[in-house]
Amino acid sequence: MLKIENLHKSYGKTKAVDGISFELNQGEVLGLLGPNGAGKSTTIAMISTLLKPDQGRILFNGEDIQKSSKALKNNLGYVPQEIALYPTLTGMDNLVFWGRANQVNKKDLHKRIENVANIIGIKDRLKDKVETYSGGMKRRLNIGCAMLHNPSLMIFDEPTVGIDPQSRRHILDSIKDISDNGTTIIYTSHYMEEVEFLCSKILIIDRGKIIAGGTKDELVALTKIEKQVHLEITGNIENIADSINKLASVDSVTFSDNLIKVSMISNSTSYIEILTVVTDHDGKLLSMDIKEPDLEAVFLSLTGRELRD
Amino acid sequence: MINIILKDLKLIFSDRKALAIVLLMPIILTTILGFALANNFTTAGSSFIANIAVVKEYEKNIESERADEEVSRILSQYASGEINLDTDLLDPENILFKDFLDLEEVAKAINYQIVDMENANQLLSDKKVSAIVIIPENFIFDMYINFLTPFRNNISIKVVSHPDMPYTGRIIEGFFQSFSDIISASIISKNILLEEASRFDLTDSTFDLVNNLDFSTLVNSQITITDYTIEGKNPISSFMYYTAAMLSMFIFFSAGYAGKYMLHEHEYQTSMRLMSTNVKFSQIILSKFIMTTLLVITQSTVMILFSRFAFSVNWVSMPQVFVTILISALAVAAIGLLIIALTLKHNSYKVYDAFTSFIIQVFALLGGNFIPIEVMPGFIQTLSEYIPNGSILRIYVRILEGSNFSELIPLYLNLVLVSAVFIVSGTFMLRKEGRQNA
Repeated sequence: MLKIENLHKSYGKTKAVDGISFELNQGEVLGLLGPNGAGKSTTIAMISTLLKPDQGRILFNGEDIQKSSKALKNNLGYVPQEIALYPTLTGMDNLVFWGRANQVNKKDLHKRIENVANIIGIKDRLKDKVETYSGGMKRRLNIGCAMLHNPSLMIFDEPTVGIDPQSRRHILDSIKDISDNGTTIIYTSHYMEEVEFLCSKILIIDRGKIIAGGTKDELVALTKIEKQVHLEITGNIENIADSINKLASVDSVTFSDNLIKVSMISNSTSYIEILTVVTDHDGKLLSMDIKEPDLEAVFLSLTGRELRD
Repeated sequence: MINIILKDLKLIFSDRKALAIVLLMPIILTTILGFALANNFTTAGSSFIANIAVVKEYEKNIESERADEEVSRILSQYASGEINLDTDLLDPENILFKDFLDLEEVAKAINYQIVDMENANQLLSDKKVSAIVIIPENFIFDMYINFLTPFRNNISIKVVSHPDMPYTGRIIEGFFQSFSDIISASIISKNILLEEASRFDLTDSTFDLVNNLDFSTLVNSQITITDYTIEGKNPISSFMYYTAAMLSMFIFFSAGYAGKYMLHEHEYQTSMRLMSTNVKFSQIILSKFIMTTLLVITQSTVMILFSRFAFSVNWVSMPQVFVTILISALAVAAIGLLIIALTLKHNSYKVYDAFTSFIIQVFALLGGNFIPIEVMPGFIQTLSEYIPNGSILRIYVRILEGSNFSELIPLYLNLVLVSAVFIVSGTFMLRKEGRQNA
């Protein structure tokens, strides 16, 4: 359905996208995972025809979108990172406008609006001005406006930025419903748990390049990480984390407040070594969790940097 | 495209602050300025009328008796016969009041009341009169001496005008100046006559002739008031002028709103989102252009209807008004296009702020929107022809005066030319912006 070939884009001397290629089939949900500035939004902007690539091709159903973007645009539902709505108009006015902009015919429009309003859960507030909505409701309407024309490809650019957990859950569930109906989705985020929840295929992007791709299990398999240990401790966290990182069985360590996350490359016999380090540094262990490795650990292992750096 | 235009219209018509500025403010300012400066303009459909207070500082009877004695004494030195003053035939007070101020054409313009100085000051401070005219002491005496003897005494009539009504004061000064000029001309003629008569030894009969002259006919025959406007043109009242002035000024705020709303689209990324559909950048801009045009048409229609029903302004020719609304809407939208281009280039509300809070005000001052352009220096009057608001104001004033289409065509062409310059420069800049957006 969508084929990206060797995409490049620079802003001055900065290479925002540096040779990205991937393919996406009908019904797949692709997650683009990477820290801020990795090149996710630039890649998405080029796929949405908002930016012209310096080099490379984007094929939609075999057609180069730089030669003709009409077919792509007719089938694309784009949800930008910003809340791209008209705040002084009502929710209904916004849905009508974006529906008409996406060429939904007048006859079907109100039925479509009713369906979409049900999915995004704002049916009771459609007559209110958008500026009176909560952040979560605005985000949901932002998504709803891109769904009205039943697009076969939807692009979500960090759609959950800055909202409360409840609204975030609602948005993720809505997107899951959309994907379950067979819509192809590209989803960018730097929240690995969102990508894990939604995406059948994940690309990890850093500094404009794809550094790894596949399912979550395939990505974990690319690293040597066996387990992740989360330690809640009091004491000199920095010294303790530094000493744990020097252990042969440890791949990487991150810490914040009183939590240390340890990615381990060998089996359980190493846990004793970790606990010994904590007691040697007069640390007090409050709790200890042993987990399966997540995408954040994978990213750290592959790049040496945290996702939220 | 219609969908985008409808959305833009919904946005502007749901913006209460914008509506207050583009629709309410011109109405309020027209009402205030129309009432406040009514005395500086003619009233609609009639000529200028000013109320004045006349203060007599002379004593008619005493001065007449004194003049009788003095004239007899002077004339006895020149003529052999006895000459008696005929106050019925030559009465300076009658010349001033009956023959001048009560003259039908003068009375159309000046209403006077004779009061003492204290009352006159009170009337002036209450703005019940526009000016006080003080007829000085010895006026009667000096007038007799001037008319009947070879001598000439200086008479100084004072006009005290209210500082808020300087134009009216000047007009009244003009009236009394013309009165003074006629009297002076009569006195000079009389002196020449007497000098010539003495050369031919005809002094007796000449003095007799002078004494029997009816000076009132001189005043009557020389004072004629022509209309204040060009022949065939309607006089412009303050409400007419300020409706046109405020209309031609406030429509330019719509151009500012075009830039502001375009920057909103850019900030909220709605323009970017629109371009991910099959909408082109040029369509978004064209919609703003059309929105500005329709907003100006709405503003103009509201102002014209308001002035018609609230102030009984007669717009004379509705087809001319219609054409002017369309051409002025085009001109404003053209400026709006340039503002959009500059706003996008600088990606800042500073362009909108500078345009609405500085440029429009300066243009309004230069274009005659606050102060009638006729009282401005010559170079500003010339400049105002090329300033769009000045040009539009001129057209509306000409329509109100009753000008025909052929007189308006050069003004329309000027406005279309200015609009074309703005459209070309705006489009050129936007094409660059569009390429960067693409």
